[in-house]
Amino acid sequence: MKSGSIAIVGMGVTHQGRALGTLDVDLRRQALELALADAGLQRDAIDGYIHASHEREDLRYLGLSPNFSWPVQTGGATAPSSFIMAAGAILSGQAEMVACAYGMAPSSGGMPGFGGKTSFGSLSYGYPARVGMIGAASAHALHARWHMDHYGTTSRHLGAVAVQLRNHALHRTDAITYGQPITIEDHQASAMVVDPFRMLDCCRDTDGGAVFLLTSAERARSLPGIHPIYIHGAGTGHNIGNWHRRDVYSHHDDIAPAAARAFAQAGLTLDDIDTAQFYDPFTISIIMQLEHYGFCKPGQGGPFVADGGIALDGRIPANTGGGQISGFYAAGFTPIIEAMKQLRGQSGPTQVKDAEFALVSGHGLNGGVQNTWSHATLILGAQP
Amino acid sequence: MSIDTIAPLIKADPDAPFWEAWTSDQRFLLHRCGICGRHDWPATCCQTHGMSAMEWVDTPGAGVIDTFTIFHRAYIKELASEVPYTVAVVRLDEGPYFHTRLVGIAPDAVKSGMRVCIRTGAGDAFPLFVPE
Ligand SMILES: [Zn+2]
Repeated sequence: MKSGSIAIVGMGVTHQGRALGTLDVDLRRQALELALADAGLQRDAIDGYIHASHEREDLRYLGLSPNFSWPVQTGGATAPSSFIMAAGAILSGQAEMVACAYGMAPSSGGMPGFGGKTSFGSLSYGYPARVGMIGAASAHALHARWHMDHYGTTSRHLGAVAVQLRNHALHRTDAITYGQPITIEDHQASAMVVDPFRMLDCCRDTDGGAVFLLTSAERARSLPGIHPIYIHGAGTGHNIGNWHRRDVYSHHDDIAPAAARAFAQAGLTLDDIDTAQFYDPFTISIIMQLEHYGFCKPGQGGPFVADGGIALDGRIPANTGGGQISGFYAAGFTPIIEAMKQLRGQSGPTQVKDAEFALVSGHGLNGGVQNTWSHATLILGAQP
Repeated sequence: MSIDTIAPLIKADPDAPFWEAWTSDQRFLLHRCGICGRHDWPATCCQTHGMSAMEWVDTPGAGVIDTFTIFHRAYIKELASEVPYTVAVVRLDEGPYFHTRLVGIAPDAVKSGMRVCIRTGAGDAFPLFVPE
């Protein structure tokens, strides 16, 4: 897509927290109303709807009547992928104003189902559940162990990520760990869950909703009193290539083609990026993405973070809201929300000064026996 | 643990020949392209030659540990008596990955690069691996 041709004109984010006791569809409705207020629009402006999950009957309960309602489910890459689909709908003339909606309440309910070959979760091909490989942490742990064995990454490097994310979240009232500092010793003392991950290497489920309103940059210019953010580049990659090449665990997932396309569309390089917001369910996610996006050399992600590389005054301030591990888990919308706040100058105590371009990643649809299948990259900008 | 309760197999699945061979007489099959000789697991269509030459063939079931993880926590109550246990990624000698439980070795003695092979004669419902 042409750099800056699509604008995000509305963002609605509900309270994000543990066991809120609100239905997921109500979280989407609340987020929709916040997004409409943010953009100064009424419901009837929305003529496209994309639900980041399995759409069933949202439209009636949300009071919408668009031309289409699409379900998208590609795990943690769903959020950026929904923006790419929205851009496609707008640029192909199917809609003028598309709502991308998320709302989940996993911490108010049970664990997602498992066991069936097609059920959502870490339980597909390769029969992981038949050997007791259950939960997303173990799939990511396989990559972490590979990284430690080949590069000498240590548990303390993972701990450096956890402490840095907590330091970001510490002063952020929108983070679930607000006001709760941790030290590297706390990390080392936290219980081992699935080796090499300790409790403090893992994010926790939270409840919350988020809705974004996307339109053309041209239409955005006609809306008064809004604060639009622009999509400058987007890219996707699928881990099946690494699977066929039998080189899965040395990679995070298939970042290379996603990053190459996004940066080519934007006409930018890494040096232009002011802040990175990575999808980070586990500490290793930050380390490996820093390497595969090129912010540091292969194998150097651990020392890079330990040396302050993702701090506010570091080489690339990253996951400045505490990420998913210390901020909140709104699936792939966590990094998008923080990128939007940074580019709008709304990140408060962890605001990156004059942030103009933000890199956003999403990855997911847990491959069962590896961390993820799909990856998506967005480059967002404060100006068209 | 009854793995059939935790993760039941699906009849008429593309991988059914693998399970039939394993459960009937502990043969370890891989899906092989008869034209280029590439082996795969689970069932796969050759990207170059399509599905027509794909066949299930007997293999020894041996390889090296590519990476692994140790479960210190039981995610479901049926596994509570089994922790800590090791889940390993075996790079089979024929090429494909095979994900399995490693038995016959203490979790803290497991190292990437170790040679391992399937355990037979123990009545395992799933092919588990042991040090070679
Ligand atoms: Zn072939």
